[in-house]
Order: sequence, then structure tokens, then C-alpha cells
Amino acid sequence: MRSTSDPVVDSGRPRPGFVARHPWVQPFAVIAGLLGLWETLSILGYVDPFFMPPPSTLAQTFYELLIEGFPEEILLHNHILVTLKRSAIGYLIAVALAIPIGVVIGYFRTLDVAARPFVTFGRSTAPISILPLFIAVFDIGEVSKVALITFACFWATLTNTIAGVKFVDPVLLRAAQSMDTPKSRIFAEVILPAALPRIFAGLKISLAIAFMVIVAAEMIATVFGLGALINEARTWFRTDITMVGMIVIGVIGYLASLGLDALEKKLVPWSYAVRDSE
Amino acid sequence: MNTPDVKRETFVQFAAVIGFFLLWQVGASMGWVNRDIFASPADLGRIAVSQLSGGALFLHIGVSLLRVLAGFAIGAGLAVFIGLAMGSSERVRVILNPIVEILRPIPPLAWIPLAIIWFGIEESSKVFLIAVTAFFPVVVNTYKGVAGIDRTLLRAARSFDVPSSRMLTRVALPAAMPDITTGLRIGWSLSFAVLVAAEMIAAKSGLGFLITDAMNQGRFDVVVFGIVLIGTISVATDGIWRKVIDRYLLFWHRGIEAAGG
Repeated sequence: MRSTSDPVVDSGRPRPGFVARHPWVQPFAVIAGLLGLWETLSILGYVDPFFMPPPSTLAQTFYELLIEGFPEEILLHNHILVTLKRSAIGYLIAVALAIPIGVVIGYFRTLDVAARPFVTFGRSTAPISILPLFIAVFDIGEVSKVALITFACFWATLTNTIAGVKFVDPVLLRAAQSMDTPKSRIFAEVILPAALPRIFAGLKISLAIAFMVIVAAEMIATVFGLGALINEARTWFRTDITMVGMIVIGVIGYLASLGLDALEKKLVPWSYAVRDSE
Repeated sequence: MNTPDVKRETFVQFAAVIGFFLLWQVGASMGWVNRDIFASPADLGRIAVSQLSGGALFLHIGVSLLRVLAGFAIGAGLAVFIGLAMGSSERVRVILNPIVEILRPIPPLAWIPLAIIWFGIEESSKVFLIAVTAFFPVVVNTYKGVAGIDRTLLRAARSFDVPSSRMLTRVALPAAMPDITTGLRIGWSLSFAVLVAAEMIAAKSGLGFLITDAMNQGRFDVVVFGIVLIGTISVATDGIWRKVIDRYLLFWHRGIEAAGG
């Protein structure tokens, strides 16, 4: 692609407009307009504030959650920390298990064939349906929630790791083999780097799964965590708190996925090169 | 892939599954695993027979499937429509894309409390939840599919004076179909997982209810049976989806892939 300062491209064309030079302006204007409309409809009484609290109420509620807390005066940042801790522990255990296991399964063809029915099935089980079993095994406290995250994240990381190792470009393998590269070096210097983009794809899917599952797990038998916050708020008819909690969950999930993207760019720079050439 | 390979693979898989169940059964009989919590395969077989002989199980399966189908039809249908509109009109995209991008990071299960506030704990809240769940993967993939259509295709169609209404149904929709079907399959399996969670939190029927009810009675063998059943139905419906997609939605696509396009 040519840069816009290229005189051959630019000659005779008008300078791009303000909106084109600032791509974030348009979405912000749209969102601001919608919030304004929502607030206006609320003031005029067209929207029932119980079902759809206006943005001004949500802003107040956010402030209230920060300094007074809910329920039982648990402050918002405590909920966030509890949720983050649970999901991080479960996620990291899942990743630490799934990547080595996936690499081994993907490397040996017969093992891959034999494991396929179990992997397909494990991936298809609804994670939340396992919760009663984990509660029976690990009790209703923290461990069962963390175990649930681990279970849910394990399969997505596993399937992507297997696929990454299995579908290494055969040209790369043959090139390495033709130069009499020892097997251990092919594995470490060809297969693993080539598998990393897919493994990262699995890590991203697992992250989304972790956030989804933790919220539901926290609706059962706890008052700590964002899932507990939005569900307790519902039982107290505090729609505003539920909505603020949902927004916070969304923002955290979004930031976490941005963080993972940045990590991928740093650790696996060739991942983006591969994707752009496709 | 040639036939001896397929035969060998089937044999290996068969042996692995049989071996797994044998090991599980032996482990349960020898007392290596806690039978109060993990039923043995033989126990599961017995439960399956007793559950299948009563009609209640089919009611739970039917109710759950109906809920998923209704919610999925609404959510995915709306998503394909909006995705097409966003992909083909700049004005629609400018308005809707920010909304979609803001709501998308909210995990589907986080909508449960709001669904209950808006629709109560009856059927409509579950259908709404499934619709929201199915909506986002389908809308994002549809939009991506339409926005990524090969411009040559569009120009070729325009040079043949194809009217714009037919451009959408005959050119844009099929060209975006590989992405749309990806979204549909993701949406379907997510819907299933979410439905079970919704039924566990508030319902009087369905597969999620089957599990919570069994848990409350301390029948962990039935819980395990329910988990296996839900997994099986999920695998089976995904298989059906793949067949439907191959035969009716992407039947023209395989030729292109084989030709290297």
C-alpha cells in the first residue's frame, strides 16, 4: 500500500475530510447521540426507568457502586478483583494443561485419531452443566468455580493447539527435513513456531469462554464477583446496578482481549504476517 | 483419504472409546472412583433405560430444543438481515456498528438477570437470551462476509445490469455464505450452552432443569447422565447443521475449494 503522502497518489485529490482523518469521531458521535436520545425519551416518560434506567441514573449508580458498594457494601473494585482472580487462576491452569497435552496429541497421528471422540465430546459439553458435579466433588466454594473455568477453557485451547501442531505447512517440514535437521530441532524450531498463531487463537476463544462461564458460576452461592453483583441486583429490583455491572463485565472482557492481542503481537509477530498474506 | 485409512481410523477410535468405558467401569467396580458422585457406565445404562421408558425425558429434550430453535431463529435471522444491511450500506454501518461493537463484549450469560427483569422467568426470557447469544456471532460474521466480498464479483454482476435487489440475494448473500455459516455454527453451539445455564437458574422443565433437579435430590448419577445427554445432543445437532450447510447453503462451494479458489 502507498502512503498518503505519495505525490503520485495525492495529486489532484482533495485532502481527506475531518471525519476520514479521525475515524473515532463518527462512532463516538453516534453513541453520544443514542445516549442523548435515550435520556430524552426517559425524561419525556416514553421509557420506563425500571426496565431501562436512563444514562444519568447509570452514571450515578456507577459512582454509588464505587464508594458505597452492593450487596453488603462490597465495593465495585472488590467484585472486579474477585472475578479476575477466579478467572485468571482457572484460565492459567487450563492453558498450562491444554497446551502440552495438545502438542503431544497433535504430534502423534494415532493419538490424535484415538483422542478425537473425547475431544469432540468434551468441547461440546455445556460447561455450566458440569457445575453440579464440581460442587459435589469440590464443595460449593471457590474451588468448584475455578475448576469450572478450567474445564471450560481447557477444550478450546486443546483443540486449537492440536490443530496448530497438526496443520503445519508441509513445505516447511519438507524443507527442514531435506536439510537433515534432527527431529528435536524440527519440533522446537519449525513445528512450535508454526503452531503458535493457532494456539493464540485458542487462547483468545478461551478467554471469552472464561468470562462467560465465570459470570454464570458467580450467580450461584456467592455474593462476591461481578456475576453475583448483577444477579443480586436483579433480586433487589435494581436494574440500574445490573446494567452497570454488565457494562463493567463487557469493558473488562474487551480490555483483556486487547491485552492478549498485544501479547500476541509481541511474542508471535509472524502471526500477523501470516494473517495479512491470507 | 483412501478407504484402508478410514477403516483403520474407525478401528482406533472404536477401540479407544471401548477402552475408556472399560477402564471407567473397572475403576468404578474396584472403588477407585467415588461411585456416589461418578456413576459407572453400567449405572448410566440403567439410568438411561429408566429415563427413556418414562416420557418425562422426551419432554425435557423437546422443551429445550424448542427454546433453542425459537431463540436461534429470531437472533440469527435478525443478525443475517442486519449484517447484510451493514455490509451493503455505509449509512447503516455507521449507525449500527458502534452499537454492535459496544454490546458484543458482554458475555451471553451476563444477560440472564436483565432477561429476567425484562421478560420474567417464563419462556420469553429464555428465548430472548438465546436470541441475544446467537445474534452477535452471526451478525459479526455476516458483516465480515459481505464486506469482504471480492469486488470483481460485484463489478461483474453490475456490468451485466443485475438489479440491486437481485445483487443482494444472488450475489452478496451466496458470496458471504461461507462466513455466515461459520457464524451460524458458533451461534448454535453457544445457544445450547447458554440455554442449559438459563434453565439451571430458572425453569421447571428442560435439560438444565433435569440436572438441577437431580442435584437437589442428591442423584449424581442422573446429573452425569444429563451432562452426557446434553453433550450428545450438542454433537448430534452440530452434525445435522454441518449436513444442512453442506447440502443446502454451501453446495456450490466445495467445487471452488477443490479448484483452489
